[in-house]
Amino acid sequence: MRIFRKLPILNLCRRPVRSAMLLCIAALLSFTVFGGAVMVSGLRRGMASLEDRLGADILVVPEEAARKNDLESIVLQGSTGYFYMDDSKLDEIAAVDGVGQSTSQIFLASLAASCCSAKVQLMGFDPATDFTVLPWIRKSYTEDLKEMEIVVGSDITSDEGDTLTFYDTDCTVAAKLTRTGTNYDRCVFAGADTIRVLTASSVGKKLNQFKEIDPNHVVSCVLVNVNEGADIDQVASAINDSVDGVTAVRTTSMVSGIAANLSGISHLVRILIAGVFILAFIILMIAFTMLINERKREFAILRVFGVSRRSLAGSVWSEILLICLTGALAGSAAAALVTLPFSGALRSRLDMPMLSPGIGTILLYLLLAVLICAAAGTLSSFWNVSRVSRADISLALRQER
Amino acid sequence: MEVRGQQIRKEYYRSGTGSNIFTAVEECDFLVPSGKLTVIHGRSGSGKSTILNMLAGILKPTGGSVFYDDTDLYSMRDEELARFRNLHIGYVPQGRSAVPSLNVLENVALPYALYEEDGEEAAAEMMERFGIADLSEVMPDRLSGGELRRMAIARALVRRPEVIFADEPTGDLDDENTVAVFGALRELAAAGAAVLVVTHEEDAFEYADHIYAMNAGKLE
Ligand SMILES: Nc1ncnc2c1ncn2[C@@H]1O[C@H](COP(=O)(O)OP(=O)(O)O)[C@@H](O)[C@H]1O
Ligand SMILES: [Mg+2]
Repeated sequence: MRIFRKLPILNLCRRPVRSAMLLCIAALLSFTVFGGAVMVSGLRRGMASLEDRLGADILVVPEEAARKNDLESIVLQGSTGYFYMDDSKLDEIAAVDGVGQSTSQIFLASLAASCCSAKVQLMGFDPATDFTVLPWIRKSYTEDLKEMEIVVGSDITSDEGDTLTFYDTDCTVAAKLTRTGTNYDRCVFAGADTIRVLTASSVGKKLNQFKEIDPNHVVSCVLVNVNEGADIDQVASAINDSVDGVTAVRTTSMVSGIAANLSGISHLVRILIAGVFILAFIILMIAFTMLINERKREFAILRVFGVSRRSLAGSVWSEILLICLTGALAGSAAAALVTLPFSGALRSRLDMPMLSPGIGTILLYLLLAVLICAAAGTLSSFWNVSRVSRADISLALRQER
Repeated sequence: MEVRGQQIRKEYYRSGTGSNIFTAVEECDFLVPSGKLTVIHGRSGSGKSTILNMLAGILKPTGGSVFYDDTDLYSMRDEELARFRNLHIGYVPQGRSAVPSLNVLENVALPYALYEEDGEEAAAEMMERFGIADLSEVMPDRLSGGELRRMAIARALVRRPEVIFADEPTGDLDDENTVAVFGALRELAAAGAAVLVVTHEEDAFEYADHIYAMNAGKLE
């Protein structure tokens, strides 16, 4: 009978209610640590992928678009609005002092396509001048896009080689992009030539009305990088001054806004974790003190029959660690179930880009959560365990017989 | 193995009394000879448990020494003393003493189990002896006071220790069980063990080889 070594487990299994209560406290702690860490890291990754892609200093949109749309969500969330201007604006903008690279994009709305339950957003870019979307597409697809070839975001269920039909026009999926955690994941990207064809057929279908603009010459926005050494704010206001009917905004100011937001959230999560740690620490300390007082006599009996101070402390310690570790795993599992599958929902809730961390990071956070739980258990019971091992057997035997 | 207490005494710190020192057992010499059943009789609070615990190696005397043959009990390190108690001393505590998360069989086999030794057979035999064999798998919180007491006695005797201490072992037992308990203790003494029983009742007298009286910390 290997009873003594099994005693911690027996104590836990044969006292299910008591064990469950302690387990819940440990689980709460690890839930907060793990869930909080995963959330913050998801936001950080979303932010990083956003900065990667953003790559433009200034976004220029038609004046009325700036009034109607939330420009921030166009830049940060990759959501597209439907607004158009004549492509002659591109040349006007390119001519402004300080403007380096410039390229145009076209946003088209599509009715539910065969691939998807939701409305798909079509985004056309100009491969000849593009510096924002293309480098990112290049990560998944290194060849040039041929006519009627498209690249799809990760949320679109079609795969390479599939055919998608927009406004009765067939397109071939050439590549699928990696996840970004933004609305770009629900976008379909096409080169300028392809998008002209799609624009024409959408006009034929009486979708996307361009009013006074020639469908062959529409653009939705112009993205600008300034020349080395030029001041972005000055260039933006120069565009606003010299080009009629457009609004130019600096994109990096938005990123720094979201970065401030993000550091606010991580700060909040850190405070939450610290708060829950202190709370768990206090509750565990009270619980262990009560538990150990209640079991003083039991421990004294073990000592009488030959358990040394050291092995008694070890046994009590194992029991506490066992509780904390099981609780930590349960709490982390619950947190994983809550945060990982719902990261999309969480993202739209927070209105911030969010990307689930990789498996390595998740395991790291799991380890962190487990360690923090073990630390809470160890620290909160330190005094109690030493009290148990130092206890006077004879005195303990006198208690409530 | 005989147990000798040499000039042992126990003082407790107790606030509120004149010098804050309370003498529970006054200095005395005490011998528990092997092969005999020794009884200490006295009123509640007279210091019986205190002297028993000092002799049993779980309460260090304020002064004096306890010898088991030539072994000075309290000069041992904690690990050694613990193992010594495990191997040589059987102890029946006053009141309830079950380990709640172990069933009756595991409780009885405890002295073996604590050192990862196999004591199931010896435990089963002891349980048979005290009429609790059919309670093996039962958890202690389901037992009556008498059954718990018999379990405690079976556990104290399971290793056939050379020295046995029993603190009010028949306090909550009926006559039949009292007879069984003293019969077993008597038998162990006859087989050469040193047995010490402390009690405030007189039912132990007829089994005793030596009877001491304890009165307010003084042994007579
Ligand atoms: N740890 C202790 N601290 C203070 N007083 C104690 C302690 N243990 C026992 N006493 C006191 O010592 C006296 C003798 O106790 P005890 O040996 O248990 O008596 P008995 O077993 O004869 O009833 C009692 O008055 C008791 O209150
Ligand atoms: Mg007593």
